[in-house]
Amino acid sequence: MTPWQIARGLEAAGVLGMNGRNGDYILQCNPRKLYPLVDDKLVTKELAQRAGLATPELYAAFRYSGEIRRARELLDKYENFVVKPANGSRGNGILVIKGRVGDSLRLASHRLMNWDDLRFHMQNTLSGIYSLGGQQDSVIAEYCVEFDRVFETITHLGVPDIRLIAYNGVPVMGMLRLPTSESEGKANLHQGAIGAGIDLASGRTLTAVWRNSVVHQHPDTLAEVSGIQIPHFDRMLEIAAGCNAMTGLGYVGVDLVLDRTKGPLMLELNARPGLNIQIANQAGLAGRLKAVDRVDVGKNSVAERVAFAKEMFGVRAVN
Amino acid sequence: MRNLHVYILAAALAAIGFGVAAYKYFVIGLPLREKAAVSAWEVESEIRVTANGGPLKLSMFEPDDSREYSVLDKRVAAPEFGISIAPEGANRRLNLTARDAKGPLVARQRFLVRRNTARAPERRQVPPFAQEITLSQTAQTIARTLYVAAHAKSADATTLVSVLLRGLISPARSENVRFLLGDDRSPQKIAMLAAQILRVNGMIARAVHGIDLSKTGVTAEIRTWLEAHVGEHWQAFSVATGESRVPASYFAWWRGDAPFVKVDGGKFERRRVSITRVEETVLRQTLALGKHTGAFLTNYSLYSLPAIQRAVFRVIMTIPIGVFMLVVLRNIVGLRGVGTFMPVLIALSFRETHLLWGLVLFSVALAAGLLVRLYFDHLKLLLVARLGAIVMFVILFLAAVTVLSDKLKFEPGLSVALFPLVILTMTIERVSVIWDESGPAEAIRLAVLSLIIAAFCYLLMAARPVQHIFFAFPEMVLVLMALTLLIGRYTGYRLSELVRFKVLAEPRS
Repeated sequence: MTPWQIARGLEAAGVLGMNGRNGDYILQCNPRKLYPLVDDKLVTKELAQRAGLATPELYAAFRYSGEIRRARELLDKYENFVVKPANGSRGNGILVIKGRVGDSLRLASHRLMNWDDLRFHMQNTLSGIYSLGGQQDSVIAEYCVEFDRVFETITHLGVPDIRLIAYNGVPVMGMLRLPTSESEGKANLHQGAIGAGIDLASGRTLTAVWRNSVVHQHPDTLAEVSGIQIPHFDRMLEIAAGCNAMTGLGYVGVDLVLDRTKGPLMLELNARPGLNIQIANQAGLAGRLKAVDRVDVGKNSVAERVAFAKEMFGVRAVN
Repeated sequence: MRNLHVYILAAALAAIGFGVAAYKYFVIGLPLREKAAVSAWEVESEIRVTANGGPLKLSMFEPDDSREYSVLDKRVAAPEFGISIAPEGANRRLNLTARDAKGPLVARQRFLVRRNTARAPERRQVPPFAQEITLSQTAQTIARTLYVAAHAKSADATTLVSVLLRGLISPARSENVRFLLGDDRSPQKIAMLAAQILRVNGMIARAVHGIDLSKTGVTAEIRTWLEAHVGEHWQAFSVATGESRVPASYFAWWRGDAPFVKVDGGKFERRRVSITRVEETVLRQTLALGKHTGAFLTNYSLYSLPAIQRAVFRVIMTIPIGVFMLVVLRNIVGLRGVGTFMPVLIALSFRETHLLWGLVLFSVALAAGLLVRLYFDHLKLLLVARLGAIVMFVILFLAAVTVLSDKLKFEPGLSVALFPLVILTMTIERVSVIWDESGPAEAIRLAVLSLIIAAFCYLLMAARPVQHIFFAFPEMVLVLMALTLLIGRYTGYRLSELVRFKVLAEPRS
């Protein structure tokens, strides 16, 4: 195909490009001044708690270097916990601690780390090496999610998460992100995780992509990744549908995890969600966003908006 | 709505940019090519006289600016004389006087003639000089007859003059013409006679004397042609062909029937006019003419700056093109290097060192810096302290390179002084962060890509034609700005996305 034909094909499939996302959606409905609400995960957490959305329990927050000395004192009582930068992006700077070996901390990647290493990592995080633009950061230590057993066979290391794109209160697209050995436990597609599209109507996974090619099996476990029913998916849609009103951002990426005891937990929000979700779903975003624009969903209840999304963006409706 | 606003703004900016540039090109005559060459002529007129002893008065004409030509650098070399200039009819007469002159004397008149790049308005709309009639009564009667005959064979004033002139030139001259001309059939005589005939019949006309600039040499002939005031302006007629035009290389020196040289109290020996062609760049000429005529846009341009600022702005004015290239690469092509405009800054630093040595130096410094950065990683240093230490390392590294270059007599190494070390440091830091986050392959890929983009930026920004265009026509930046604004509202696909999303474009099975 010529580049021109590809461009027309993409247009016809309603694929959203980077310029289109930035120019038509992010610049238009995400005011810059609201970014701190989602860039700082501590702020997002507070916001979600006030809105009654479940998030992983906060164990400790470190805002100043001096507080880091107390890290062991505050965190040693927790067998498992996650340490992450409040302003991090792309899953960088996240450490998942799973148990101890003697005096050392055991990471989910089976690497060992002592408390000094952890304090240095926190110190670095505070000085901003993981934050956008290198500004002052804070460190969050929180509950380590025990992901639902459904994902056990299709996950390597890390925690699988569910990314939903919500536009004007309507979830428009979703994908299940599965860490692989290549992604080192991270659920980011560009780092080598698998992304599986989700049928919004049923909550079942569709095709999956890995490194820009379509796959059906998890490369590490060889288990089937398509056709998996995600439990509590309706609840996830409801959470996502509430995030636009909660933050004021019209176009937002909602990251959720499914804890085996606590159910869906909102992990973080993203004001500039990536476009790979389109590849995972083998479908374009632009068409769905325009479908939302065509109806006035502003005054409808969350339940109505979720019903609208399931009707419009389920597999049967789309095909 | 927002798009419309951007389109209107972009159109306005582009119109202003192109408009000013077009004005400067077409009217002021700033060349698009820096080295575009044009001719100018150095004219020297030398007059030799022998003084009788006693007061000597010698006068000649000084040429003035015309619609086609500007006369600059007028000089008179006549050490024995006092000099004064007085208007005389349509001309300016140069009077050279001496109280007690004896023997042979030489007076030289010298000036530079440039063809106007801009079309200057005609200066004299109405002839300010007296329309003298010198013909006798009989001759006037014949003149009227000739005029009536020419009038009958012509359609308008221009063709009338042509017909009349042809009658005077033609070897088969009528009895009347032969009577009027007498024995002198020189072009001078024909031109003066034609002017007289036209004046008798109420038209305004005069003989024009000048030189043919295309005939360079030491003994240029004086050419004479005819000017008649037709309609609103002066129309030139050749007295060789009678046609209503003279060669463009004809340069008018003085007008009317007066002889070029008048000598009182001495004997005129000879006159010699020499024409030398000198090559000049259009640019130099336009700037000189702009100063001569006081054109606003030339006198308030970047060219009017002192040399040092001019050199600085020659560089600065190329930054927009580099920045624009990055905007295109990012938003249309979808390539990204290390940092937003880092490649432009790297390209600027290449100016000091030139491309090859710049690339080598930058790569070596980057590699060395990365090694140090990776080593510092083990020391668990905080961000700002680590950056500071890397800056210091980079400075020491550059100092060492410079000293070594000096010892080895390696010239390019010495140009390192202004190599922007903060840029280098930030590049090292960014590359090492990418190294940490996305692995060495990605870090090296991005670093190499940045250097390639920087090299292209450098080649573009260091190209003399590009520098000239943006220095001579800074308003072209407005055009670039207009394009940048348009790209800022381009929400179509990037070229890289055609690859990235290609699977989605294929028809569903």
